Amino acid sequence: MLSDLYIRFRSLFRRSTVEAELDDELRFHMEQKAEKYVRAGMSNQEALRRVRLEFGGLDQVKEQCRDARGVTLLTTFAQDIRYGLRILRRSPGFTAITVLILALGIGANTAVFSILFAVLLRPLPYKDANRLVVVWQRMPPDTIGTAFDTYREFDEWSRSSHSFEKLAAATWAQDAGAVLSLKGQKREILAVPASLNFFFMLGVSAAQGRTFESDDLKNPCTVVLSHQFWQQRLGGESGWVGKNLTLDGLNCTIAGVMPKDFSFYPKQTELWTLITPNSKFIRNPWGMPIGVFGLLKPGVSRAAAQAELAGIERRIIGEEPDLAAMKLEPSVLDLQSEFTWLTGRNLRRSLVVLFAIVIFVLIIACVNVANLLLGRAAERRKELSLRAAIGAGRSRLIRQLLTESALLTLAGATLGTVFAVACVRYVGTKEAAQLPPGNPVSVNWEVLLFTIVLAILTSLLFGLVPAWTASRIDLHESLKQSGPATSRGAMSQRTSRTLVVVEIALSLVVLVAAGLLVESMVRLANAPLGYVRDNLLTAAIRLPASSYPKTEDRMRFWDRLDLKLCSSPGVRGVAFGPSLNYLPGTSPVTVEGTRDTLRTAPAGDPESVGVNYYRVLGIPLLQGREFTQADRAKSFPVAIVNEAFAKEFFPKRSAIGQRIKLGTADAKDPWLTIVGVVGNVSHPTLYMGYSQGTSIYRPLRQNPSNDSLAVFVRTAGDVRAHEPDILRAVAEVDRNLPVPTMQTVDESLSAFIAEPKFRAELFSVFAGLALLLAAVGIYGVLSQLVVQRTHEIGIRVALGANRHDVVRLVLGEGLKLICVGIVLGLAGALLVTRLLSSMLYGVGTTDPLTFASVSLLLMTVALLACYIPARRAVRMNPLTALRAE
Amino acid sequence: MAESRIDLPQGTLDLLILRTVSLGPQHGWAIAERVQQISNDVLCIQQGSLYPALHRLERRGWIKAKWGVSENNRRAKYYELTRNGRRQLADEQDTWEKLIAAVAQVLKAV
Repeated sequence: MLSDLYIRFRSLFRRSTVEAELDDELRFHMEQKAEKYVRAGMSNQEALRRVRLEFGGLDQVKEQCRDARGVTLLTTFAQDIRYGLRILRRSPGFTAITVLILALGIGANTAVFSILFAVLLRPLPYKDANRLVVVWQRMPPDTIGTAFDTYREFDEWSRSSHSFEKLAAATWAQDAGAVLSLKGQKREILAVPASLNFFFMLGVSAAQGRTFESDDLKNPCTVVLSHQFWQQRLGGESGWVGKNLTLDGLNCTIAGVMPKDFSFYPKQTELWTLITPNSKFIRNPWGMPIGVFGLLKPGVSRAAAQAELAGIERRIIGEEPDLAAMKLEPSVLDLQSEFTWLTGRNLRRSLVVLFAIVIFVLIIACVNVANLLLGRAAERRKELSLRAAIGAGRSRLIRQLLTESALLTLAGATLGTVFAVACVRYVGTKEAAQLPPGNPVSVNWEVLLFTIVLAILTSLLFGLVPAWTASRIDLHESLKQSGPATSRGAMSQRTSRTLVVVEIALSLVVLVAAGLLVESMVRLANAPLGYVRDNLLTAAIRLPASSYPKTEDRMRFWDRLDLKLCSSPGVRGVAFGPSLNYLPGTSPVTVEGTRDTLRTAPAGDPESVGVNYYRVLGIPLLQGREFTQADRAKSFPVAIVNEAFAKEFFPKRSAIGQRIKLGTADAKDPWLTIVGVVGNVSHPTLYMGYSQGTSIYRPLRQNPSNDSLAVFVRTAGDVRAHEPDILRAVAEVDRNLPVPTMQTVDESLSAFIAEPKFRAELFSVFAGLALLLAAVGIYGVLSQLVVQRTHEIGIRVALGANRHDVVRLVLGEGLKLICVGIVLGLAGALLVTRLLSSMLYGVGTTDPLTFASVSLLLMTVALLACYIPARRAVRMNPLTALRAE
Repeated sequence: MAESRIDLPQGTLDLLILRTVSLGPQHGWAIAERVQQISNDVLCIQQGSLYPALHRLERRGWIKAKWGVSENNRRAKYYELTRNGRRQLADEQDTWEKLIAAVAQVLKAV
């Protein structure tokens, strides 16, 4: 078949030569024939005429020869493209709108897919990423671990387990921060302590210098910097490797700087500090929460590894009875899924739902473009008929029309990709969406491949139906028509009505989803939290153990700060307590029951609060009293519990005067007497919503663990105006403390609302797009309807129909489509919103109010879109209308 | 003359061309003339189908073309049989003979 290839090639690339040869060959034949006729006695002229007649259409013969050589497919393709471009250029308005609609649809898909690809599909950028796991502790009956391990467990696992090639530890548990002293300034930074083989396990190396090596264990402190830290804090200057940084008063050697694209959880990590034999981890191995990461040996399953680790843990857990009482078990999870989960509890599902939604938007866009094309096909009917008359077959016409669709898609996809790149840039720079560490989001070649496939599907989706309908040409009928070629067949009318119904149904689904998410977000942001949020400033302050070794030192600091702040003008109240975002743990508590029964149950870590805490925060005191100055270290040990605690443990009697003990019954801690019951405070959770668990409060003075507290300042009037006063007060008490970050309580909560907010915004944008497209769609169909029925309307008006009748005629037609679309859409929405259940707060997946209001909105917008053509119909002059055809 | 002409049955044009060309390189005009002449003007090849057929056969590799000079000193495209074409001709001729023999038998019998 070489000859075949050769001829095709030659036909394609030596086109002019081949064409000339074909000309020569045929001319030779004709001349020979003419000569023959001349010899037979004809005149020259007559012979030529005769030959031409006999030969038939020379061009047709040539075309058939080209066909026989196998050229046509490609040359006609080129012709189609040239012709298509010319057609599209001729109607710039149509082309621009179509390309824009497609660009929005394809761009949205490309952008969302690039996120989906980076987060869910592409393996993490570490070595053997598919074997990387994380080990958490889970509390049965929970099936998934969420709690840190301890250093002791990590140590023992590293020594005795055989399931892993490497095990490493890193922690961002509370107090993972460190105070950096640089150029005379002190600042709290996110420093993550990591074990020696942390980087080694990930198979990554430093961009400058090196990662941790075993020699570093001899030094008091070694750090590896993140690229960002090096850029922002150290000015991105080279030569820092080998130099020192002061961290928590320690001299730390900089071993290296990580590459720009390296990241691990938490993404904001500024530097990693090596856990050395002298560190607090080794000194207090059971008290140090830590995350354990491992590289499984090839062929070892997560379940097998989990079983092995559990066995080892059981062997040593007896060393720490309090922890043993919690009956935790290790849980081995895939690292990538865990990153996604850690970043957003709903991230995976949101991305999938978001992807579905943008596909919907794309379908709506396609339907719209299909409708536009149908309309245009009607306008172009004469042109197409003419082409059919001079010999274009139906398949040739379809090919031509599809080529035009493909050109539109190509332009749309190109513009869409530009949109997508801009969106991805935006997401990347603003960190608008919290995305997990690992792969940066980018429009890479895999994403482009997706876009190309999508574009091809798109052009078929919106091009095939119109091409099919338009190419079905009854030559006789359409050429006979001499009037303006506006009317379209019943078939294409029906098609475009169906398309509009589909469009309305799909956009309703998108609107309902967005409506539910917006509603949840609003409820989440405005949920009553059990305290008064207005004019409340807060800042977290951590007292370094080096300058505040003893409880009394720390207490003295808080007292002095209290005094300083209270004397600032405009301050109405000052209180100390745990950060409101801090979700209390579930440590066991023993409750003294009636008749000498003891009950030990998970209840909560004690929260240390100062004297005015409840009054300043506006938490209602329900029974008993608040803490007072009299509750001192040496006085009678007391506690205040919240309503939830009182209901849980003392359902039938008053909690006041009851005694509880932190930990198990035989713990060394003293019995605490409950002196007050306060209202529940809602703590934001990483899941959607707030938790209102049981809480136990201890007076600051009686609780030795008071090194890290939030200070709350209630001000009169503008909160922000008081910020400098507060900062000055902190500096006056201790100049060596890092400058705290002041936030209003609302701001400190905003991080928890950021994800649902971003999601709601994103969905709203797409819903708006869907609504707009649906409106344009129904507008287009009804406009055509009005044009098509101009004659009929004219007759009606002439026969005495008034404005109302005409409006009713057009709107009635529109309303029918809208209603069918909305009913179908509601059914679809009921199916789809189920996927959203975990992302909603305060509304059900079938919230009737949202469903109703969204339907109403869609109906209003759609009717408005119908009204414009209806008005046009009314304004029509019956005379011109009657003359229209 | 026109009445005695027969349109070629489907598929026989290729066979005629291959057979004619098997006698030696020929240009399109000569092929058409030769067929008409040998068949005593009964078979007339339409030019409109001759050239597409020649190009198709060339693409299949059964004949190959080269430019030469005609009897009256004109540049003309000559087609000649390739080895593949010779095999194809034998095959087709065989099939054709079987076909007409069979058809003749049926016609005689009924």
